[in-house]
Amino acid sequence: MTFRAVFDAEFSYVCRVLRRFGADEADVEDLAQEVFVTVHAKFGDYDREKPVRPWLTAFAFRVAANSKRVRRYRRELGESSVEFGSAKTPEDELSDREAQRLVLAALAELPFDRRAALVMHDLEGLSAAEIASALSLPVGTVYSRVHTARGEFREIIGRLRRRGGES
Amino acid sequence: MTDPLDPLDPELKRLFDAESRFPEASTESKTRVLERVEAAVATAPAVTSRPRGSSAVLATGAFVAGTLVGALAYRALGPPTVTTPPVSPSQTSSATATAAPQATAPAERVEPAVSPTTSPSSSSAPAPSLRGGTAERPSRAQEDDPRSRLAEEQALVDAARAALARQRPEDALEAVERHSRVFPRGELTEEREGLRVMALVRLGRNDEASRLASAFERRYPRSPLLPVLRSVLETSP
Repeated sequence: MTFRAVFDAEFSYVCRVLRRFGADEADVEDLAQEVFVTVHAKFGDYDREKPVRPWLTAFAFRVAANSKRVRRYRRELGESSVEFGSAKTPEDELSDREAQRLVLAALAELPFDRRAALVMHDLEGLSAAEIASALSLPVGTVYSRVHTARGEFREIIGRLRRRGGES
Repeated sequence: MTDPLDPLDPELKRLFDAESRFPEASTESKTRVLERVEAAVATAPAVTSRPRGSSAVLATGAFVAGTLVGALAYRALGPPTVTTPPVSPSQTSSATATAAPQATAPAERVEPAVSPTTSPSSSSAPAPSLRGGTAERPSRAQEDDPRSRLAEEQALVDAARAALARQRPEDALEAVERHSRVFPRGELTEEREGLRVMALVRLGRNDEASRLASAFERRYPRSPLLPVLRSVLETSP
């Protein structure tokens, strides 16, 4: 597998992951460039026997973690700049676009490390072992972060929806 | 280790599935980025310099352990700047290289760990006081509920980490020892014992820290925390 093949196959994936890690839309291309420049430099280390996405996700995580342009934690857990006015109850159907805005807004309010764990485990489908290996963490830490993040995420979603129902 | 996580609840799953249907990146965007990547790698230096010096080793090792020592290194060194591409931990320490091409650790700009015990939105059990008044055993409900146990464990470990970040190693050691009593065989034992070594170094109890670090290495020979602990011991006064 060549670098170009990986780029072509996984560019959209990396952009999506960066977005979920907290990158604003305007910064996604710059950050994706940073990820792939690093991937290119380290491509010789890549074990072709292993799935590429955990490896790529780890690079995306580090670029996002070190970027000033990624929201790390919205300390004021109050007003979100995003309005969700259409769904008043969980049973109401949200359009895909609204769901995307809601999920990204809620993710942005999580502390970065827990946000990343939730994204990698529940949205990207990586196993706890893959995440632990990619981020050099004990597996127990990964489980703990995902568990805590899920609870926080539910609360945030509920608050954002209630605010949308009131507007 | 059995998976202690419940399956994702249907509402969250539905939301995530809808969010995942976000349109793919456009061809124009992909082309733009590819051109910039190719231009960047064409002008990149052939050899990547490696961080040198004890402070750089400590900073690199700190990122490997994530937030476990991110706060400690950050306070000790100040905010490092990323000047080189990520370097594999196996290239910067004497730790055994892992078989998997794990993502490398850039010079670390890791913010001090924000203890989730201070997060108002945390759904876990309240953080135990570091000044006593906390039950030495998990409650019956906690004993029966693995999720609750894990949350309680995490609160204690996070309290220890936050205490180290505040330059309060004695508080960190107290949280570590409380975790030992309440969760002697907890899921986060590995992380706890790593924090114990760091707290002891900070307290100047280097001989004890070295002995425990050796025991840690025997117990967890492939722990990602080993390079960090070695760095901390090597740079201790």
